[in-house]
This record gives sequence, C-alpha cells and structure tokens, in this order.
Amino acid sequence: MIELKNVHKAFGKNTVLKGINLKVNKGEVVVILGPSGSGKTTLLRCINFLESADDGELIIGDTKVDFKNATSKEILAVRRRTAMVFQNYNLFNNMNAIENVMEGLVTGRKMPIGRAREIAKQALDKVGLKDKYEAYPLQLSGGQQQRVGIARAIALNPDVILFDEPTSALDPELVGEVLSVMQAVAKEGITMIVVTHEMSFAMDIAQHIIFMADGNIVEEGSPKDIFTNPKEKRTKQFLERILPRWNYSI
Amino acid sequence: MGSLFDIRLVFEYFPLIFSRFPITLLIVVVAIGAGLVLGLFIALVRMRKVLLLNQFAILYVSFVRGTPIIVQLFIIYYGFPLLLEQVGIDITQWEKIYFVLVTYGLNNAAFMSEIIRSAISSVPDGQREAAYSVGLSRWQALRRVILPQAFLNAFPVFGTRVVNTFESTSLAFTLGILDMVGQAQAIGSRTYHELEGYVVLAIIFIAISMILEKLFVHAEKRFIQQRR
Amino acid sequence: MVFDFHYVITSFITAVHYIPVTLALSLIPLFIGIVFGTLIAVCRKFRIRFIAPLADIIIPVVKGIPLVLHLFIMNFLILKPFDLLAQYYAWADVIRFMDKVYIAIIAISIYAVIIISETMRSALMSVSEGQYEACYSVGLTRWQALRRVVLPQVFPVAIPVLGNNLIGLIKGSSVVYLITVVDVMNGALTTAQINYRFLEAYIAAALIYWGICLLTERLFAVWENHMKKYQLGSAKNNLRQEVL
Ligand SMILES: Nc1ncnc2c1ncn2[C@@H]1O[C@H](COP(=O)(O)OP(=O)(O)OP(=O)(O)O)[C@@H](O)[C@H]1O
Ligand SMILES: [Mg+2]
Repeated sequence: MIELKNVHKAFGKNTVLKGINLKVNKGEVVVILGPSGSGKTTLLRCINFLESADDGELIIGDTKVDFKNATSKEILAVRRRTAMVFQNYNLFNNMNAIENVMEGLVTGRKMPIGRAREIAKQALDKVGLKDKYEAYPLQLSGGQQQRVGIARAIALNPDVILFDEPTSALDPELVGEVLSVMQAVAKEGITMIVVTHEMSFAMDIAQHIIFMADGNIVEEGSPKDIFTNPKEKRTKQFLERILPRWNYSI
Repeated sequence: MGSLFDIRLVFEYFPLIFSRFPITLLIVVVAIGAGLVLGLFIALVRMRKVLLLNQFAILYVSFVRGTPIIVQLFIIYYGFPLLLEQVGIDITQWEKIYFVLVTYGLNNAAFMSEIIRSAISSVPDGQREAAYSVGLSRWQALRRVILPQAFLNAFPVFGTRVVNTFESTSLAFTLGILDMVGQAQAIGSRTYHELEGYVVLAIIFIAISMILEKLFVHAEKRFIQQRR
Repeated sequence: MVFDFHYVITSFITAVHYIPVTLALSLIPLFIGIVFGTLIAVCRKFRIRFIAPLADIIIPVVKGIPLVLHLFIMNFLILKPFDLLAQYYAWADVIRFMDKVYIAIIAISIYAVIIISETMRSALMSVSEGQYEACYSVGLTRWQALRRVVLPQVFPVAIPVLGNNLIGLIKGSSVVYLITVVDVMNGALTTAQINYRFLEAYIAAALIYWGICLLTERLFAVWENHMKKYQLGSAKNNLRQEVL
C-alpha cells in the first residue's frame, strides 16, 4: 500500500502541487489524467524523489517518510521499493538489454550476478524480448526500448511501478506492443500508477482514475464514474476536449 | 634580498609591465588577421583539393599543430633569412618583433584553416545548390551565402582561438623581445624580485582572457544567436 | 652559414635520448590531470558543498594563467625559500639543487588539472539527466550511478579531447628549457651550444615533437574507435558469428 498526504511542491513561485492526498492499495492500477502542466509528472517524480517535494508525507509499506526532512538513506530506501518507467525510456546507453535489467539488482541490491541474470531473463521474456538479451539500446526500436524499460522495473519486484506517459514518445504503430505488455503486468497484480493520454487503455486497465488540474486532484473514482458520469466541470471539459466522440458513443 | 614577496612592488611594477601591452596586442591582432586570410586560403586549397598545394597544406597544418610554438619561433628566426636569401632578399637586419609576427601569423593560419574548413562543411549542401540555382557563381556563392553562415557557426570556436592566441603570446619573449613577459623578466633579474612581476603578469593574463571570453559570449548572444 | 642536414641528424640523435623526459613531463601531468580533473568536474556537477563553489571561482581564474607563468612561479616558490634557508642551514643546499624536473612536473600538472577538469566538465554534460534519473529509479546511489553508468559514457566522449589535451601538454612541456630542465628541446640544443648550428637543432627538435604528436593522435584515434566498438560491441560480434 502506498499513501501520499498533503504533498506540496513549487518551482520558485510556480506552485505545481497544492496538497495532494492519494491512497493506492496493493495490486491496484491507478491512472492519473489531466491537462498538460497540471502536475502529473511532478507528482510521480516526487514519489520517486527525483524531485524533492516541499511538504507532505509518503507512506510506502511500513516506511513513512516526511518529504520536508527526508534523509538520503530514506530516499534510497524509498527508491529501492519503487520503480519508474520513463517517457523517453532512459535505458543505460552503455549497457545491453540484460545488463540494463540487472543493474538495479546487482549494484543497487547487491544480488549475486547469477541470480540477477535469471531474474533479468524472466523479466525480458515476459515483455517479449527473449531474443534481444544482448542488444544495446541504440539497436532497439522505441517500442522494444520501452519494453526493456518495463522489464527493468518489474525485475526489481517493487511495491509500485510508476509510468509517466510510457507510450507518448512512440510511433503510433508501436504503441500497441507496449500497452499490451503493461496490461500483462497489471494482470499479475503489481501495483501501478500510470500517467497516460491513452483513454481507451485507461478505461481498460484502471481500477481507479484520478483527474488532476492545476496541482489539485479534482475528481477521482472508478473508470466508469469518471468517463460516463463526471461530476466536476473541469473533468467534463477535459474529457470533452480530449474525447469528443466518447460522449456520444457511450 | 630579504622578503620573498612585497605587495608594494606589485603596484610599482604594474604600470611598467602593462605599458608593454600594445606589443602583445599587436601580436594578437596580426596573428588573427594573417591567420584568417591565410587560413581561408589554406582551407579553400584543401576543400578544392588543388593538386600539390593540397598535399603541401596538409603537411603544413600537421607540422604546425604537432610542434611547439617556441620551436617554430626559432626556426623562423634562423631559417627565414636563409630562405629569403635564396631569392635575394636580405632581412638579417630585421628587428626580432617581425619574426615573432611572422611566426604567430603562420601558426594561426594553420589552426584557422581547420576552423574554417569545419565551419564551411557544416553549412548544408542545399545552401550551395540553392545559391547556384539562382545563378550565383562559385565565388559569389562562397562569399554571399556560405561564408556568412560558416562564420556564424564558427564564432564560438573562433573566440576560443583568439583567447588561446593571446595566451600563447606569453612565449614570444623567448626570442628576446621586450613584451610584457620580457619586461617582467628584465625587472626580475635586475631586482631579484621576480615573483611580484609574475603576479602582475598573472593578473593581466587572467583579466584579459576573462574579458575576451565575456566579450565573445556577449557578442554571440547579441549578434549570432538571433540570426540562426 | 649554410643549412646542413648533417647537423640535423647529429642533433636529432642527441635529442632522441631525452624523449623519456618529455614523455614524463606530459604523461604524468596527464594522469594527475585526469584523476583530479575528473574529481573536480564531478564535484561541480553534483554541487558538493564547499568544493563546488570554490572550484567555480578558482578554475576560471587559474585557467587564464599561461603555462610558462605556472612554471616560473612554481620555480620561484619552491626554490627561493630554500635560498633563504641555505644561508643558515647547509642541508637546504641539497634541496636547492633538487632536480628541476620535479618542479616542472608539478607546474605542468597544476596546469593539466585545470584544463582537464574543463574537458571532463563538458564531457559530463553530454550525458543526459535522464541517465541519472534512471539510475536513481532502480535504487542506485549517486556514486554508483556515476561509476556504473555515467563515467562509462563520459570517457568515450572525452577521449578525443583528452588526446588534444595531451598534445598540448607535450608541446607545452618544451617551455621547461627556460628553467634548465633538459628535455627533447634542450637536448637538441646541447649540440648547438658547441657547433652553433641552431637552425638545425630546432629542426631536429621539431621533427621529434612532430613524430610524438602524430603518434599520440593515432593512438587516441585507435583508442576512441575501440571504445565505440566496445559500446556497441555485441551487435558487431553477432554479425560476425552470422557471417562465419
Ligand atoms: N524542473 C522544473 N523546473 C521548473 N518548473 C517545472 C519543472 N518541471 C515542471 N515544471 C513546471 O511544473 C508544472 C507542471 O509540470 P508537469 O510536468 O508536472 O506537468 P504534466 O501534468 O506532467 O504535463 P504534461 O501532460 O505536459 O506532461 C508546469 O507548469 C511546468 O512548467
Ligand atoms: Mg508530464
């Protein structure tokens, strides 16, 4: 279980997160929607301490961290219980696929190389890259790179995987392969927080949807509630703009 | 001799040493000017692969880049008169500063030619083709279209080159001219207070190279970036 | 006096013996420069307390001092105190006549650290922030990220520039003749002191420097290619396996 309490974050005068409260149960898939600049990426990055929030609290499993005075030890502990899949993949350019997946296990968690290799192989097999163990990032297509990115995350067996628009840098014909891998991961009961603009995918995969605007959570609920029966004006506007057809077809 | 370092002497020496700055400036200006003209020539020779001249240019650039400027200074100093003697010109009475100017000019030409060459090749082929398509001649295309763009591309590297040239003038004194370093040396050997002179030199070199750097960064922001 | 190639050869043969000195004067500073220069660049990148702001001020300032001044100042600072001491203690004389090569190496090393720290700084910038973030996201610490992911990507980028830095040090080291260290340049001149064939001596020195620099350039080019191949290594290996 992972919980955020009253998270605040500002870049200079620009307040980006204005007191976010969020609770994600174990095995749950949560999708965050919201207009550009609403703070979705910032929220994810705060959970992983890639950005340091100004205020608030993070509870993950049995560890509780105060954002304001988190020690580097606590930060590392949180990072070792979370994993992230980046919009632009961010594979380690100096390592091939399997080394990319093993790195967090071997260097971060001091796992013996042999075991790490076994886990990495399983992870890569799961994302359908059985024949690409030795390929370097530059030799892989965008979709394949992102699948390595997902394998790198699941290999760590984290409490939660954070996805930040994992398909938005991909060519349209490659989006499908990544989404179906994510679907498979979700079925395994791994906790996921996903920022995406793929609405039908969100509808499909999410147990819980959060709609953010201007640094606040405006509305949350089941996909059905949010998509067919949004309560807030902001949510309606957003859905109308992004899904003109949705309103008519459902 | 007493103390190692006397701060008052720094103030005393400063005007004496800085009064030689025009000589340093002269070397830099001549080196950059000659370097640009000759460098452009060498760059063109190499890009058009002019027979024999091209091979010579390759050798020349490699030699200049592969040998210390002090060695070049003395080779010019001893060798240039011998060479010109062959064609009946006597320069044995030349003052040393002229040899310094010749050396720094020739030295810079080699480095400039490399800068110019990569700057020109950084201009896309389409630019040249477009220039030909509207009826410009080869030389016109170069002058009106290619070089102006190449100049913009090369500007930051050119700035670094100027700063480097300025720093390398610190070696001109080895030939025995009385520039800033030569003056500091002379004062030092007269008074046994070398360090104060070196400190003055260090201050001047630091200040001027920082000013030059700031100038180029400023000029780049002001004139170059908005035109790209 | 007419130019006589014969004397170039005489000078050349003498000077060749001092190639190890010139190499020591450039390779030792290169090594020290890479170690400390990388350290400084990393401290600045990670904004390490005290060190980073200090380096931000010192490096741009000291960068403006020409190598020959470093040499003169170092020569003075190391020798002059002993001059004073020598008036009272005989032992100081021993140090006073310490081999000046060490002074030269210290001075060139300081210069090298400054220059190479700038090389490494811009090479560090070539690695995107995303690479660090990916490291952190899988639970690596800053230093682990540096060692495992960032530096392996930095060095291939830095190698050609380090090659240029080394060539600069080799050529620059010729100034040590000014404090009477006998390197290639000074070695070539020893014959000229006897036969007054200065032009020939300088040409001999030039040939040796030229040779060393060309060789350095080649070696670094080979090294760079090797590093690049290593980065994409497996693909080419696979290809070869398929062909065989
Ligand atoms: N490193 C940063 N420095 C300053 N401002 C930032 C930084 N990162 C984000 N911001 C600002 O924070 C706000 C929220 O950005 P964020 O990336 O979280 O939005 P988002 O919801 O992910 O948008 P998008 O859908 O476009 O990805 C924006 O106004 C952005 O300009
Ligand atoms: Mg975003």
